[in-house]
Amino acid sequence: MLAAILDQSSLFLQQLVNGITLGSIYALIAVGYTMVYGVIQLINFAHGEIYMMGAFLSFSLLSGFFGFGLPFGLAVAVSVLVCALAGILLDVVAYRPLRRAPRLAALITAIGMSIFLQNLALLIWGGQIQSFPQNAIPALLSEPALQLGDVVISWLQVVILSTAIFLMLALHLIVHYTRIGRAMRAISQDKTAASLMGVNVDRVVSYTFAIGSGLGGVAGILVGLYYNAVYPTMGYFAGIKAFAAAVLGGIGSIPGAILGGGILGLAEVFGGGYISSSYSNGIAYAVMILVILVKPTGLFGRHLRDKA
Amino acid sequence: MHLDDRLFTDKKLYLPLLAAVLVLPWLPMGIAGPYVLRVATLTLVYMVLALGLNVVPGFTGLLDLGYVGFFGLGAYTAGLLTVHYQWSLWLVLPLAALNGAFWGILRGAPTLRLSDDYFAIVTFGFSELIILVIRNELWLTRGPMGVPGIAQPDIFGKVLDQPWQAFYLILFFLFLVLWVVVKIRSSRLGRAWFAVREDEIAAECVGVNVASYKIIAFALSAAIGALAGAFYARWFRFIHPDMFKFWESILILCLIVFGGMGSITGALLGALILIPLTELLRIVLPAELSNARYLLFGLIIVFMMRWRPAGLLPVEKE
Amino acid sequence: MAGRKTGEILLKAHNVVKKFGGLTAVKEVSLDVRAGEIVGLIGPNGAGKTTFFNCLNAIAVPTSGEITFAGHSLVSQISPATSRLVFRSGLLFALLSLLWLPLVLGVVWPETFFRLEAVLALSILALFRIYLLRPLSLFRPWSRLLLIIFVLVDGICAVNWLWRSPEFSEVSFFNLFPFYPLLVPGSLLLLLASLVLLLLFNLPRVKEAFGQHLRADVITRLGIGRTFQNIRLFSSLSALDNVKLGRHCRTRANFFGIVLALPQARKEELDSAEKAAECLRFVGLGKQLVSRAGSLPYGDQRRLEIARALATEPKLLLLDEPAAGMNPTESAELITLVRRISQAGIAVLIIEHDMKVIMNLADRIYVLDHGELIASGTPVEVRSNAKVIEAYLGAQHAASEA
Repeated sequence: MLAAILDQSSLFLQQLVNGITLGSIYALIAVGYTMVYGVIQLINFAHGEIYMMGAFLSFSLLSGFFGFGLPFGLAVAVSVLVCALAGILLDVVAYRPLRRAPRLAALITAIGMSIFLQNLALLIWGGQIQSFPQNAIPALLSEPALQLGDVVISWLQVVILSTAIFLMLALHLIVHYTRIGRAMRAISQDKTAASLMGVNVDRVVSYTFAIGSGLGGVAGILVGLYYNAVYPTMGYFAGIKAFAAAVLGGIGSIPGAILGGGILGLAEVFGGGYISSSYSNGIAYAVMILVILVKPTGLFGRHLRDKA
Repeated sequence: MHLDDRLFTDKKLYLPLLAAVLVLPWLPMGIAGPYVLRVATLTLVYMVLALGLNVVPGFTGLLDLGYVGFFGLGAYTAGLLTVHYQWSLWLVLPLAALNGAFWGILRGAPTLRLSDDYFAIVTFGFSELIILVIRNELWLTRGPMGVPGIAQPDIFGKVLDQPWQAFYLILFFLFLVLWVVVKIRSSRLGRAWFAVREDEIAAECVGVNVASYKIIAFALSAAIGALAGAFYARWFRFIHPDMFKFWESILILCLIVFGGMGSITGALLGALILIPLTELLRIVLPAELSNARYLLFGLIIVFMMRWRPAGLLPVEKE
Repeated sequence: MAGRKTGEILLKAHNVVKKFGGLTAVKEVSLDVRAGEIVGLIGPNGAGKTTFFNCLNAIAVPTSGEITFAGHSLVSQISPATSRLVFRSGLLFALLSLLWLPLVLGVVWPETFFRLEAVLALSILALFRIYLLRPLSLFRPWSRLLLIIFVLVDGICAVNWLWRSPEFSEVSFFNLFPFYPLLVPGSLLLLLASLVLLLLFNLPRVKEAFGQHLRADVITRLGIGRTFQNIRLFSSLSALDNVKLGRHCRTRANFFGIVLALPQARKEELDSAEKAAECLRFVGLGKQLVSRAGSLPYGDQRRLEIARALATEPKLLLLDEPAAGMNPTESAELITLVRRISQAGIAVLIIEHDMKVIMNLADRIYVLDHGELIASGTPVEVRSNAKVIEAYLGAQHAASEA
């Protein structure tokens, strides 16, 4: 039994690396869900679509889909910026008018927006899987950064992981040490009290959407590069998995989302590698359902409103 | 008086309804042939689905995002039983509905204490899991190969192979389901659901056992979905996991959002308008873009929630 | 409904305690209400009056204390020690199934048995099973359902082992697992254990020892109706439907009766419409049958809530600040209404801030302050009680008199 495991140790290490890479991407997306939920108690179903847009925008800007091409760095920056703006727009157009409506109305709207955006992408870019043009992305990314026996860590994986860590640290600083972060935390405690204390709720919510969507956009670009595949339904599955990660960590908690993303990434890679690859999506659903049924507050979540 | 209250009680409605039912499907036959009848049948299937889904989000106020799971469950139960044992429709259909109800209860029982958005997520995940199992358990469901060659519906040993026969068959089921939901809506059972929707605590305090009434709603809703699925399998004669994707759940949800959540006539109207529209879009749009028709449903949902959250035929009196 | 003299004790609360985390909202409150009596419960804001009401009809579960109503104990009397005992036996039971589950899977999927991942996944499954057994410690009814499921699972496993044994010997797993001969008796033993547990928990004597915490809807059926401080009507339903819902616990039509339109169900429906209309007329809303509850004026909503509670045919009516937000005319009407309810033989326990109303109505008054009972007696006694004046009447009474 032990020997069999040792035999597989290099496979195991490789899977570990892949899992952490995937997990860091899920964490980036999950943070977007968690931040929005923390501030306005809405499950933003359309968040996965923002992530998909990030991938598509960077693909289009690099491949000249819109009739012009941009250098790699600029294309990434523009895509992330557009994603952030799209997040704000999403909130202003779809969710803000429903702030006072029943929660169910906003949730249904979020689902509607998700379908709308996904099919919009289908109309614009078509349903087939697109790949990044190889000459547009830095060649270094596809080279191995580190090789230990059979275990290969590519530069791209290094970039993904370091970007994720950097962004998470930046997010931590924003949430804990800036005015806007303080306002976000205040609103998530008590929206009415915060607005009475002079916090401009709408503006803070916009910032929240911008940050969350920007991170989602980054995740989209990274995944597009990692799998070298961009397609309209990519946001659907990634969105669900990231949401499961957010639930696992405790929705509303940013560290929870990061931890949840990591766990889910590992679970997916190991589950897919060892148990059954056809059920790798199912792991996310199962984790999500189990967590909700057994411990709805997740690993770090606070208690949500009571029913009574 | 709301139209819902007049169903099966107001005798003035009987005659025009009967006339419409008997005449309408034949009118376009001369122009467009069996295709129109096919769309009409499909519309009726979705009407049944809309009525079934309406029970949970409309009556008890819990958002169900995984209704297509029961549709698929019913279709596969009926399809596989028919293919393997050649059983009659009238045996397969109740079995499918029972199986649907069973899973509806199983899904619902642990969710009783969850808040509304968590319930929505669990329903979504559950239906995705059902479809995933259908796709992957080849020994049972043949997975992505689908189940072809399902026998057509039958009655008293006679095979109903004419399109109009299937149409009237589903019409019969529609009336059956309609009767059930209309009767329940105006009974103590329906009122208990409304009470749960409005205020669970107050419902308990007037003596409603919230948990068991939620369970009844889950079971009924799932059974109706599975019934529609069973008919669909026998009528379409081929089932495939891709027919039961998440978007179908949203399409059914869209039907009742459009017509008005909780409104029975609203659900019927929603299906009556949107399903033929879907089929129209399927023809108009080029093949590779035909899936983009869901864009419209996304828009409809968003616009309805923004400007007419109570739907076209709202239940509440203004 | 003939008027009754105040008689035997209907509701008896003894040392009721309710804690929220570190905060004690209700401290050892004892109180009793006799049939046909009107009893007032007063106290400054935050004194724990509404929390005490919630304990009476199981909206909140009291931390400790006894509540009996018309011969029924409303609160379970599980001691922490027995609760721990049950929890431990449940845990033991679940651990047995933890050992059991991998073996079960070994049959269906032999090659996975010694895979680390499979063991891990199964441990998670077993942990889930342990989690499910947690409610045993509270002895909720559905833990029995759970046990039934476990009995079924273990039974199926046992049969499975018996049935599969000949062909199974060829599988390599048999060679790996030398304890195979133990599996059949083992599974039968487990089955037996589950069955014994199941039967044990269903023994009336065991049930009695544990007591049973009644749900709010059961308590309503026993005869406690209530209204809420912040009105909780079913606001999108009509006034008549609201009151018909009050009839819910006195009607019995089930799904099949309704769908098949059986005569009994139809008669019952007509009956409850009639009784509901009667209740509405009783509170003076006879003309508002079809109005949407949420669109009624404030005073009417309060009365509708009372009508809804009356429709449940209570023996005891809990009124939580029924006069709040009413003008003097409306409060005067309310006083007559409560009198009429009392004359109909229904005991009333009433929380009220309006001193005119309470002094006018109540036969006896209990005073709560900071969760503690500080005084009780007739209105005259309470009015002159120094503690009460200090805690409450001093400021409030002057204000309401002005």
